[in-house]
Amino acid sequence: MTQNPKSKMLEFKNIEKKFSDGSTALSGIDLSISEGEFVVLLGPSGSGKTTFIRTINGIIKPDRGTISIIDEEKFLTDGESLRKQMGVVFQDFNLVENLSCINNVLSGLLFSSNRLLSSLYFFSKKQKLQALECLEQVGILDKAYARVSTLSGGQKQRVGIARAIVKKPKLLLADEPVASLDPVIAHDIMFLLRDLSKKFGITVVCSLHQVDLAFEFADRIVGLSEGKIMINAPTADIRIDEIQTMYKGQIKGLSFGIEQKIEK
Amino acid sequence: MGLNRRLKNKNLNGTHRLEKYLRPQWGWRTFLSIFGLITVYSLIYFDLEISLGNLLFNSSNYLIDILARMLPPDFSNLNVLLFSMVETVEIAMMGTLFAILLSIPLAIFSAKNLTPNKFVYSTCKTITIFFRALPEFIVAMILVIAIGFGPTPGILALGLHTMGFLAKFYAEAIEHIDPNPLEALKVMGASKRQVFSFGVVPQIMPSFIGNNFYILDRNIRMATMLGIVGAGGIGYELQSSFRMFEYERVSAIIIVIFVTIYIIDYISSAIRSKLL
Ligand SMILES: Nc1ncnc2c1ncn2[C@@H]1O[C@H](COP(=O)(O)OP(=O)(O)OP(=O)(O)O)[C@@H](O)[C@H]1O
Ligand SMILES: [Mg+2]
Repeated sequence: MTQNPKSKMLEFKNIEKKFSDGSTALSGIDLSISEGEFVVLLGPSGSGKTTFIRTINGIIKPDRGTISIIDEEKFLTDGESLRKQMGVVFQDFNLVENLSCINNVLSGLLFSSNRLLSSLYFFSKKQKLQALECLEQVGILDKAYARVSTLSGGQKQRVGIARAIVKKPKLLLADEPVASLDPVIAHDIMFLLRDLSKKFGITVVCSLHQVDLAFEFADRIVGLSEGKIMINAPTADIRIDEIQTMYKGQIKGLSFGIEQKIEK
Repeated sequence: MGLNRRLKNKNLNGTHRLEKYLRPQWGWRTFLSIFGLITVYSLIYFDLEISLGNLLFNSSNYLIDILARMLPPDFSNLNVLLFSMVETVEIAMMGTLFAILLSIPLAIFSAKNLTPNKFVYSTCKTITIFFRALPEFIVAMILVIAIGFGPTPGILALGLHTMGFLAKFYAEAIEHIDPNPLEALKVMGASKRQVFSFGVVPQIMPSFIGNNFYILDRNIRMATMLGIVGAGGIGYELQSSFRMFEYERVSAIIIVIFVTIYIIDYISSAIRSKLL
């Protein structure tokens, strides 16, 4: 995975974020991520994972620091140009339940479509074929014209991923993409994300609560605690006691699970 | 045996401990409300001087008399009746369309999550409440004086009144949508209008269609009465038959109205179940 030095994709310099109620969500985040890398964010609840991902997609503006994407240094105040490079996957899918899968996937292309025609649900043939291709890649082409509300959670997240990759993004952000799914399907979805990332060279930043999934799929694990980076290393170099320290040793069952995994 | 009994005793002591947590299933509030309701209605009954005995014994004779005079229904002018029934339905449909078109912008601007600012919000909200509070009969009477007899005042009266209703319904539907898909669309670079048509519209569609049909149904029923004040439709026939004491015609009109509403109800629920 790190055979040859890859070009830098994302760089964070000294990101700070305080909320209006005074709580510090991120402090002094320095991090760089290479092109095509699969990075998993771990950390206890409230450690700032969601806030971090939201500063990348521009929903939250950091108080201080810069986020640079592909050499093009920009403050996140300019969400527009960043969003064009970015696909986003959500924990609760955030699909429009009353629309068909293909229309949900097409909504990922709205930014580059004719504003009037796309508001009336008209898309070019090329765009529709692109959407169908993405549904095929996530394995639910046969559901293209089914309403999202008729799908299972796992299928919905597949639509969510199709929507995120339809614009052929350079960067994919996923905040707990499998937290609402059962363990087997969670594994399938992580496998799909990893597969797409490697096939198309998409850089992925994904937050998780499942330490075992992080160890299985991440190239690199970034551990956050109270808004600070505690761990930042290739997955193979991370020791269990580091994870335990980050979670303050509270989740004994989970750390036992990793030991098992690593013994194997 | 001894052990069993000991266990039982222990269990009894256990639940005994919980008895102080017991509460009656129906609190004093319930009894007070029931008592209050009975009191209020008793007072209203005496204030209005309703006489149940009179209603049952004397009035019922007149009622039977009128009902007897309504039979058999006189369909001799059926083509006139059908003609004005069709006009009634047309008035209702135009009025409903008018209401839908006007209520959409009103609803958008009087929904808390879409309104551009407080001023627009309260202006639209006030318009909504005003027209909802104003009965269509009053609007129709004013418009008949202003524009003259015929269907136009009927259409406007229904349209304005139900505009208020629909704007309220839609605004509530818009306020209750799930905001998460909207955020997703925004993050992916959709414009405001695209977020509206891809995020808001599909979410309010079921309530939009359902309410439109409900209002159409209601408007057809109301339109049958508008003719009484000269605003077009079958109500005119109804009123003139009453005036001429032609009770057989009145019953024929009631039957025509009933059949029409029955058919419309059938059609609209068929369409609704297809669409929703
Ligand atoms: N909109 C907000 N306003 C105020 N404080 C916030 C807001 N969003 C997050 N926070 C605070 O910022 C800190 C980080 O929250 P964040 O949601 O990023 O954590 P997280 O790591 O994603 O947690 P989880 O694993 O539970 O999703 C928390 O202390 C939280 O209370
Ligand atoms: Mg979170």
